[in-house]
Amino acid sequence: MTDPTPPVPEPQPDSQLGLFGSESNAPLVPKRSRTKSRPVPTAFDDQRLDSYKALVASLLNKKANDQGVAIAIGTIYRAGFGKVTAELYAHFGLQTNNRADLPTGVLRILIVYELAAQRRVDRHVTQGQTQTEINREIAQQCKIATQIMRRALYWSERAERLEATSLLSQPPADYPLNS
Amino acid sequence: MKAAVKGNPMQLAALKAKTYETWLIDYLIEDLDTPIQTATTDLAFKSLIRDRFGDLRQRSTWETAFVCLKAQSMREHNSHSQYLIELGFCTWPQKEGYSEYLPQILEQFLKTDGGMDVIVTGLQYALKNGLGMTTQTAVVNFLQLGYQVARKLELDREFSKAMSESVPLLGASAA
Repeated sequence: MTDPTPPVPEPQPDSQLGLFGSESNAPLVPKRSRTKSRPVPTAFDDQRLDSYKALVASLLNKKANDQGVAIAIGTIYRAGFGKVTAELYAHFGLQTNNRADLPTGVLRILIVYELAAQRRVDRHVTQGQTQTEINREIAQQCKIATQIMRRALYWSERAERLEATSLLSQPPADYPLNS
Repeated sequence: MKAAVKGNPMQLAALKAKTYETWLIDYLIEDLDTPIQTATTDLAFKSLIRDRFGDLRQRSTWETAFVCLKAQSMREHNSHSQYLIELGFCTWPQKEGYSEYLPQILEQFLKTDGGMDVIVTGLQYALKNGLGMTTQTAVVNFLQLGYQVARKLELDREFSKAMSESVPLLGASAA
């Protein structure tokens, strides 16, 4: 006798749900073993170099010159921290302008800004004809990306604080959502 | 010292344009909508160059202006000493055609507050972490130039002392 209940489909990973574009059509490759592969080095020391390097590579890829790189990075500092580069380092008493010496929290935020700007610059199609126009256009993209991330970081921080307040953590019994 | 750095001499018009672009960096960072003119039409720029550096008809005026503004800009907008060395001193001058002014720019940079520390730290990082954006030959050439300029400024003892730990890394990585 056959079992009347249909077979329950196995849950599929996200890659099979079309969430990651063309990957969804790729055939499933059976895993040969469950042993974990060697972890990719993600040391903070590497990240803080890589985000800067990745951003500069993207800027150069979009034909920014030395002025363009200076303006783009200066704009990120200005839009992200409200200070130009030298001012930010001076604020923390750092004479050598060495990002590795920045407080960890500040450096993490800087990395987020740089990666966001890099992503946006990568996707941007430059239209400027002259070098100056191209430089300005790319810097504009960096500024927008930084402003968006700054707002996002602000509100994520704000939301954490709100959640921690007694009003939201312990709502009264007659609170509409609890009824 | 100019002979230490190869490169075709920059045309005067290009030198003026480069000086103007360098001067404009601060203004564009503050406001990306700052109107962009040219070195010959921007009156505020011309006035500053005349007041600080002298006769606008002399090439030497523009050379001094470019060197000073460039060194100042590199110092103020440096956010990573290693890449300042790799890009600012080893790559850009050649690529952008102002390598003939590199010794003067470095000299001016070393005169700024903390300039020596930035150069030494950048070289140390580059030799320790490995080069990402330039070649080892370019760094070795820059290191030699650094010694020459430091000697001229009577800073060679400090420079040698600061670099004494890192220079062996250069030999090790070359081997």
